[in-house]
Amino acid sequence: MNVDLTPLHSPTPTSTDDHVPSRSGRDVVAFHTRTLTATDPADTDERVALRVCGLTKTYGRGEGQVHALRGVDLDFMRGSFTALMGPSGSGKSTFLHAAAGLDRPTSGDVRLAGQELSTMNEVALTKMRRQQIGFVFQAFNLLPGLNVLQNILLPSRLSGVRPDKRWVHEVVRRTGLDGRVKHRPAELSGGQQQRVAIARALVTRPVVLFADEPTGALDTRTSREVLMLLRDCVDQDGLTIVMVSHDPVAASHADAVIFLADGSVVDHMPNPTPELVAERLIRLGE
Amino acid sequence: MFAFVISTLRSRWAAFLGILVAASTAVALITACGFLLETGIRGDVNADRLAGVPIIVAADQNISVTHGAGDDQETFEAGATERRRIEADLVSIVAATPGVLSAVGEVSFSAHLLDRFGDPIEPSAHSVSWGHSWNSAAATSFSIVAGHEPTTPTEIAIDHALSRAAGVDVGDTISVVANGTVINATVSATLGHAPEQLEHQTAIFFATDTAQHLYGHPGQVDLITVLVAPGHDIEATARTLRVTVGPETVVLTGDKRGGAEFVESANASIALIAVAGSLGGIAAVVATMVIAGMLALIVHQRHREIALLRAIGATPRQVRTAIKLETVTVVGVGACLGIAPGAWVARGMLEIWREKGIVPPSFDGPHGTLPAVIALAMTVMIGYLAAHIAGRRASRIRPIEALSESSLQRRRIGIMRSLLGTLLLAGAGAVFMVAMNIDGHLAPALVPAIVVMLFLVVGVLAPVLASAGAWVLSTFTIRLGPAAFLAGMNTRTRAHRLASTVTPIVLAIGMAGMGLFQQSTNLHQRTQQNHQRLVADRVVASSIGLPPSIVSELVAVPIVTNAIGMQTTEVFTDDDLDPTPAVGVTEGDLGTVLDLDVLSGSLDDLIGETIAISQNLANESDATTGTTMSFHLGDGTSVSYRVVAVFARSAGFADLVLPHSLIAHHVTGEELGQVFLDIDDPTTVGQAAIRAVVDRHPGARYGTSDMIVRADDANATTQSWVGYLLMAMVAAFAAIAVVNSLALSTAERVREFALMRLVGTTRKQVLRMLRWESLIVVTIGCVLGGTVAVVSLIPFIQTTTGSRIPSTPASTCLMLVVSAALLGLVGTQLPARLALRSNPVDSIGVRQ
Repeated sequence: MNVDLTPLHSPTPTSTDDHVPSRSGRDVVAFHTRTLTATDPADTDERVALRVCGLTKTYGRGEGQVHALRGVDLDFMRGSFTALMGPSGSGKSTFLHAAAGLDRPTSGDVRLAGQELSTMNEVALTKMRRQQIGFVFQAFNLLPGLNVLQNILLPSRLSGVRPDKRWVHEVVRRTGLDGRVKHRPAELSGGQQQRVAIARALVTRPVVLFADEPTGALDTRTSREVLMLLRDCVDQDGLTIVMVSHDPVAASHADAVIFLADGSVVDHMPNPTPELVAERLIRLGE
Repeated sequence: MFAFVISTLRSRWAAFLGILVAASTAVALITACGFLLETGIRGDVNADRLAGVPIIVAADQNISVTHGAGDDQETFEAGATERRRIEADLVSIVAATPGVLSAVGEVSFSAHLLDRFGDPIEPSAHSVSWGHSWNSAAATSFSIVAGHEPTTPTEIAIDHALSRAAGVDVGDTISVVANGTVINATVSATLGHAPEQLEHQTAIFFATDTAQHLYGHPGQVDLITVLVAPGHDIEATARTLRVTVGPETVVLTGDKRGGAEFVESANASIALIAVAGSLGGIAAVVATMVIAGMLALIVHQRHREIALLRAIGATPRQVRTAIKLETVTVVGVGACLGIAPGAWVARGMLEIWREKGIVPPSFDGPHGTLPAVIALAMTVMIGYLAAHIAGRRASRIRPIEALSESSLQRRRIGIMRSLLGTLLLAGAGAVFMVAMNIDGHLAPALVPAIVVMLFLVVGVLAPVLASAGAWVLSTFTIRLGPAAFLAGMNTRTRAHRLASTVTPIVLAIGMAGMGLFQQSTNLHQRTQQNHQRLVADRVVASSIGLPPSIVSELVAVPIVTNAIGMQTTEVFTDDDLDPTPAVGVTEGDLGTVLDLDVLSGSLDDLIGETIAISQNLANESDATTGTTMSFHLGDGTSVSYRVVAVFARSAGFADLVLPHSLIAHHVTGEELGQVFLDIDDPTTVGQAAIRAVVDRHPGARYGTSDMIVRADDANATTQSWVGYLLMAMVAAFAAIAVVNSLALSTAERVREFALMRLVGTTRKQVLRMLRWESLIVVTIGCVLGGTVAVVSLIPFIQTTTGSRIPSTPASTCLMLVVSAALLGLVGTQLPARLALRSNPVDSIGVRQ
């Protein structure tokens, strides 16, 4: 592992391989010290679900310029569950927005399911989000005017494709929403609402699911349920999940945790536990 | 997509209710204007007394002139408003035509029953009373209910409504004045008629010979009524008749018959067309701005929802489509609801105008469905346009905004928008300059263009204008306690929300201000000129007209040094046959009774074939003292008379003054409206002789010139009703929008209020803050709206009155400001009270 960032703490001395093995034994995250080029063999590596290279994002100009991201290189392997952590202003949300095609980076490339996002126009990006990407936000995930089923089927409706009924039924069952499909979002609890958002993300069978503090507004028990559901999606369906969180417990459900500070990747932690993550976070804040 | 739209509408019905109301009001207004426009363009007058007559033969009242040649050829037409008579010889020719059962020459003349005080009996206000010949009664479907036909010169037959109103029955005697002659008559018969007849007039029938005598035009008749023989087709008979009667005479059937019965209504629809047309246009622009403003608010409220839609894969185009679909659905439903009220408003309006005498009572009402269909289509298009504008903004919402907690308030407007606003302002300025420098009557026609452009400027630049105003006002308010401080800061920093509440106030104040200031300026001008113009010592006036012979009777009174009778008529001037008010004056020294403020020439020269014209007319016709002016008299006769004087004081009077002898044979009835007197002995004894003369003429009143001024003021107020009502409705429409947008933008702030209360603001303080906010909003709106109203009126006022400053009475301004303030309070306080009713801890968690 040729990482120029020396891990301040390494819980388990891992291999020096490029890839960090997950608890399921699969490689999940790779760190790069150099910018990938199109000719790089890893570029065509089918195991990579999402690859970002030299990602920078700056806001404003002159003296007031803010560097939200200062060059981030990361590979997210298919079927991995990665948590992004860091103090406020570390750039984790900015990274998520740029990687998910919600916002354009100042420079750098984002390659998702083998397609380059940075050169896409708005419509192509939207279609990409519709078909290959799923989202779960902290709150306000659902359109208040639509019932649960309508919300779940919204992306299919937007792309004008007939949803696979069996798959929809399966998703509804797995997210535990049977008997609630006719309810309005206002009639559901917070945890149920998040499960609807996950169901909506699953229905289109995306390559990557981005979750921005998905349990931020939930209590411990419902958080656990939602996180178990996400874990299940990775393990059963091979979904790739990138989750921003500030909760060590939530992060411990991931295969690995990446720590960001001041717009750069400062550490990573495979097989995280809540205690180790919390400890690392405290030291980051120092 | 549509199912999605419907569910959104279901959950957002409260927000869209405003648009629904706005759309239905807009359709109601545009439909009303459309119906009035259609009525005006068709210009049909219903046959009333002659409703049962299938064919009418009459003189051609149409005046037409053609200018230029070839492709540049242009023909103008107008209807002569004084009756052209036809030769009585024609009656026998018409009667002999195949298919004609009978033909009767109609003679009509002014005739009124008198009560025991010698005053004319008017069965209902604004109805006219005519005398006719008995031989026409049968042809016009009158039948004897009781009694026998009038045969002697003192016998009359009257319809039963009139007999009831006058309290007379068969065999009773009653005085009647016919064409100035008072007759002590006996009622020989009461008559029945068809229900559609005599809705707007009363009829008195005289024995045939007596009627011919009273009519006073031997060898002539007004028109010929034709009954068709059984088994003959009306149209076929009419075609045969057209060949028989030759040119200069028309054969009328169906809807066209009314025009021959009421020639005075020929051009009655001109005002209707102008008012309904321009106000319909303004209403459409106001509707666009109101609906676009509300949509902008709704889009703003829903920005997180839209951002979420974008995040999960809705393209900008899909967002736009959804908004358009939603809007068009709501506007479409609202529009359908507005059609019936619109038709109702048009009918009501026409009824009021008929009552006020602005359009003739027999004016035909709206027909068909075309105006409603057009209004519907227009409003849906307006909705589409508004949704297009709002949708552009919505589709620019970035998906990332779904993730952020607070909504970003954009402070600046885009470059394109500023550019558009500047261009519109420049355009309005250009039109304004053109209107200021254009000659004569074209300037008022440009007023709607200026208004619309200024409204658009306000709409486009509203965020800039509103926040500039808020900056100025908030510097004062931030020192006036915490509530005023908060209000100042809120209005300062939320330019777009402020703009969407200020704009409807500008529209309401602009429209209302324009209507009221125009009226007050006209009235002020008219009253002022009336006072300055009328220098006569005394006036004799009558609502039913005075016979010209009264002038010589009055001149014969020793203390009367000068008596001048006047008759009002209409002449058609210029290349485009512009109907122009004219006054015929009897011989005498006009200067001693009227001070017309002669600018050039002299009224002393107004003898023979000469005229005096107003400065306005002089400008329009490019004429001056010494010019020979060609124009058409009221009955269409083409004449050329020399201009001997140009005068200034024409408001409420006339633009053309000519010797009465020149019009005497070109008017329907030769009756004077007033006689102005110059007397040298104002004592009661001296005036007794004048009163004796006046008493011989039923309906005549004698008084000082104030009597005339007062009557004219009342008349002027009536006339300003034309545009006033419609303009008030457009203003009311904008007022609905004021309440609507304020309520929307207040209701959206539930969380903000909850937060304020959690950090220690009392309910009272929140409400006080909102009162300050609405004060700021209303002040900005009133200043901008008032500016629009005054600026757009300047060209109009300059051409009609010569002054440049509209008369803006303090009471009117105060009323406008107070109404706006009330609307502001209702719009904010009610929704705020509702929002504050709930527990703040619950509200703060409310999903947006």
